[in-house]
Amino acid sequence: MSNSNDQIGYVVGGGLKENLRVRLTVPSQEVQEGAFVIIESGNWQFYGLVTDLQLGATDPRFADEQSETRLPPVLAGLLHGQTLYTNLEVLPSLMLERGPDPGRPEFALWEQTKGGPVPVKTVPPHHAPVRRASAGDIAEIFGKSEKTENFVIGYTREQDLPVCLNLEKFVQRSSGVFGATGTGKSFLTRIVLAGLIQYNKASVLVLDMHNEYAYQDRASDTGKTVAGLKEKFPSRVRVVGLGQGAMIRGTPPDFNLEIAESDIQPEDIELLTRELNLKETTSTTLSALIESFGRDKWFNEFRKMRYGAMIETDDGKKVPAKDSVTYWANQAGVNSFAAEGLHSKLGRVFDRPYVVENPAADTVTEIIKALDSGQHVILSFGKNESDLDYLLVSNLLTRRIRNAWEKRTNEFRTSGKSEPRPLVIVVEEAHKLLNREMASQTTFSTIAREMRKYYCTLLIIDQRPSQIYDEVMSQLGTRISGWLGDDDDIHAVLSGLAGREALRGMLARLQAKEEVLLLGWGVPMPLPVRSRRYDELFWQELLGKSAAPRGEAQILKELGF
Amino acid sequence: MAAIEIGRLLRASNTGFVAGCRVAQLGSPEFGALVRVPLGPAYQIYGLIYDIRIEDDGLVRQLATVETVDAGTIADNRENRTTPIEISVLVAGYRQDGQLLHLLPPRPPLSLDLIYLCEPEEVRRFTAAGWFGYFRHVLRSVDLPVGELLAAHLQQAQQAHAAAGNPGWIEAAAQELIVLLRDDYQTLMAVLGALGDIAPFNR
Amino acid sequence: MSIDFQQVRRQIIELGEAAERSVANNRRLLEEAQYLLHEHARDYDAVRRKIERVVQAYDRNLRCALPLDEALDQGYPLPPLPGQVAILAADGSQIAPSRHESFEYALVNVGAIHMELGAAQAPVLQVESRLLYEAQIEDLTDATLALLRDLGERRLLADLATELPPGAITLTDGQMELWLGEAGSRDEHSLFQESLLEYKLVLQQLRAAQASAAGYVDRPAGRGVMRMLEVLRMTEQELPEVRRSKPFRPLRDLHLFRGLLRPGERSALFEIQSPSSSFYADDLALHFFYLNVGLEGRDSLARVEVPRWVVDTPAMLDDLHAVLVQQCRVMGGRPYPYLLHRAHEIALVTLQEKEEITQMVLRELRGRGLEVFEKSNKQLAKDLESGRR
Repeated sequence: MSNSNDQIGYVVGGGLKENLRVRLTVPSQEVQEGAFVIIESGNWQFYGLVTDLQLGATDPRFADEQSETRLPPVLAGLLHGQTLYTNLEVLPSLMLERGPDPGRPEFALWEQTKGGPVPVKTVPPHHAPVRRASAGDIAEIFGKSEKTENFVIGYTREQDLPVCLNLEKFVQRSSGVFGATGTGKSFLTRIVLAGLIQYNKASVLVLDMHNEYAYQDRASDTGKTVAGLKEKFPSRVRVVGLGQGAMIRGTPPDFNLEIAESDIQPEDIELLTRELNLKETTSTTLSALIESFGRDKWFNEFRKMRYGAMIETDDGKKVPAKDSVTYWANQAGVNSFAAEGLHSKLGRVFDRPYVVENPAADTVTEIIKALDSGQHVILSFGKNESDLDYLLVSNLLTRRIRNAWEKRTNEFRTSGKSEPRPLVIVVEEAHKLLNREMASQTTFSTIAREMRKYYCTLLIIDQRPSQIYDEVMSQLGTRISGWLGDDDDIHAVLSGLAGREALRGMLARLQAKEEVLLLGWGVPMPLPVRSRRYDELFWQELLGKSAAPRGEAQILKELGF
Repeated sequence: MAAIEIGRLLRASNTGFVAGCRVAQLGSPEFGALVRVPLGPAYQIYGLIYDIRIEDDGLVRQLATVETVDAGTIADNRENRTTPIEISVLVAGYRQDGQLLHLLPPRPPLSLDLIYLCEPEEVRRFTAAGWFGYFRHVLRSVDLPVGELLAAHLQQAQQAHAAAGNPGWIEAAAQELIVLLRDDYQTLMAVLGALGDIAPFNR
Repeated sequence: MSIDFQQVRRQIIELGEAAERSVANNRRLLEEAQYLLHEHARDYDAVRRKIERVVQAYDRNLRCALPLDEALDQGYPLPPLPGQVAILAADGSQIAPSRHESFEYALVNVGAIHMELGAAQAPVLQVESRLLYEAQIEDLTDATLALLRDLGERRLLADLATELPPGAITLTDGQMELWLGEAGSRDEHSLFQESLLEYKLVLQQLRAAQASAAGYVDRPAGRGVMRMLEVLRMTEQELPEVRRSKPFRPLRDLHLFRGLLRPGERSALFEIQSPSSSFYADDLALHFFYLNVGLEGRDSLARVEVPRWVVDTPAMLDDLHAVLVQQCRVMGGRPYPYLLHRAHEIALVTLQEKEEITQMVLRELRGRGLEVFEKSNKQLAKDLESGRR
């Protein structure tokens, strides 16, 4: 398996806490930060990540002195070979027992019982040879791309070896895709979503605030058009437009989503506290509204009230009209100014065209049904893409869906009904929903915390991970991060992970485009990769792979015939 | 080939010895040259010439003060005077029963033992034995002009190796010196500075 | 501590006081001697006659100088150096037998050096080493060994000069006269007589080769001229007391000529009047002169002894004069003929060489399976001492 030509150095020191130091025996430029290296030692093979390269000298004077100007080239070369060196800092991550030689009889038995790689618990000895990982090594750790659950997310930076993401593991916990603006986050998300859809073991609900995912889009940097998920998976992806008659990029969606007034609950309003600049009295007022009208009716009733409406009594006095907010407030015993204030501020919600008393269809149920049946849903916000829309609709919809999944899960657990289909909710601009202030109130943080208990996880997409509630961040299993410039963001992405210091620099030095660091529980070990390009080739590779086994019949069936 | 005799031993220890020769014999020994002292049929000590000292005496000192010294007197003093040239030799190893060892010999040579210059083939064999162990003896000596001695020696030995078809010897030697001296910046740079001036490197 | 420095110090003070007294007295004596020299500077015949009379009548053993025909109170200038001339010098040394050594032997080592003046090539060296043992050393004394050595030096020179063109200059250190010392045993005297005869032959050989021969005496203690003046000072009536009358006793010839000779100059020539004069007759008769080999302001007087044939050949004398001064000047501030110094170096047997010869002798004897005695304990102890230095 090992090839001595691949050797790049040997272990000279270090430890589990401070990383291993490896003396480089090839020119320093041949190895990059983030390289995946193998350290072989006896029956164990250690897997590690180059986190730093340091120039060293046996005596600082050898480094200070430009001896090549004083000595003939041959001598200078010999001198530098012995006194100047490069040390790699290698973050050891995994170790794997190598087992007997494949040719030996005991190999078969060993292979049956062999365990996978385990986190490092010891260190290789001094002078253990270090080599670059081969395709086989990477497959050993990150999985072979032939297996359906393994999805090639990118390639190693130096040798272009494919690196897989285990989608089965990926959906088991909430995960995140991060990166500063312009680092190709949304393309990466498309790639991941395409993988998930293709993998087809979980349903995906995309809260597509900016209408990016369903239909073809123009890449902001190259100007080329990129395919939408709906176009590539016409039968498996349902596009839902927010509001009646919504058009998504000039295309009518599969459904239109309208929110029934009865669905809006006080929690939904409280969630908008910051957005609507609501006062502290809001919850009191809302409680009174529920008291007065019930959970289903309050919104409708409150919406109908008139703000500041007065009538003149017989004696010529001006009193609040019966349908005025003040009148109700006085009746309900709440502060009339507070009630009026709330009414006024909720005006923006009342105005939402998709919030209707009686929706034409129960689209939410449709969505749930679609997801449940193995389809994937992209909720495009259409024109209604303000933060208010996003917060309100995302939360409301998610709450509904989660309740449905919770119910189904309980049924599955208690009465042996069929197992719920795993669901991944994709949240764009996640910090808007999952910031510290709101996290306690939204369904999202609940989902994130519950992990897979109710078969529902999140895929968070954000450029400012530091804005996301750290308790949520630390729950994220798989993290795929592009370049981040802000220290707080880097810190947030790395929260709860080992070897943070070493990874921090690596994250800051990722190439701004197309390079991502794979991190977290969902990947065997951190690894920077050059992400796949989201282009026609990608689609050919992806769809070509399973086109044949799927067969025409199945496609027709999926189409509903 | 007649062995080139360069003098006789004056005093010795295990680590070095001093040979005396007359000025007339001075043509042959060179600084850095490998010499040998045969002590028996199967025992021979090797060393490197690290100092060639021309002793003065009362007469020379007296003559030196005279304004003009005639040619005959100079020739007499150089060629006839028995004032010896003292050749200091650092012991580099020995050969016993056909085995070359870069170790200090079990016993030093004795007074008036004859000292011979090693021929190229012998230089080649001695310097190729083992892995430059005799550098230890050179580098251990604090009072020697180590860089100059090594440069002179390496240049001479290189000629022997190159003639025998092994021109890479000197690089291996330089490499070994760097390994041995890399924690001693000043000595190493002095040695390399000197090596940089000799033929195989300064081209 | 092996010296009582307190005692010595007292005596040193007394010595100083005595020296102080002598200085004034000596100056007066020297002035008188100088006066006498001037007075008789050209009385060559009168002086010779008076001395001959004294020898005949009062003191057969009188040793003094006899004037020739050069003014006595003058310096004779340095002649030009000959263009090309061979200079030979010889010296010897010896190892005396010691019963304390492991094996008794003697060694006479004679070295000679031959230099062509004005040539650039190195001088040629020659060494003759003669090992003496068993019968050869049975009656050997220090004096006879020295005699063997002196004779050896001159024989070697004669042999070398014979091979050379005429005009070679041969030098030895010390007086020309073979010398046994004051007292000698009968055996010694017989050997001496033999040696004298041989010496005469050697001198004749040199004369035949037309080589000059000279003995160079550094820091001469001779007082032949002083003795001559002492005789001249005496009235006819006083002459019977001549043996005891030595008023200039503290002075040597050196003192007389020091102020007289400028650097490079020689004194007048004198013949040696001595009991052995009769032996060195005719051409071999020994003569001497003083020579200032020093430099300006640093007079340095040597005495040079030559046989008559040199005196009689002015060119030879001049060449010798010039060459000796040149040879001394080679040595700079401490004038002494360079080649004589070199001959001494060549002939010298060092302690180390002596030890080596001893070892060689012992190896030879052991090699033949002969019993060899250890050094005496006394010698071992001495060796120990010298080794420590």
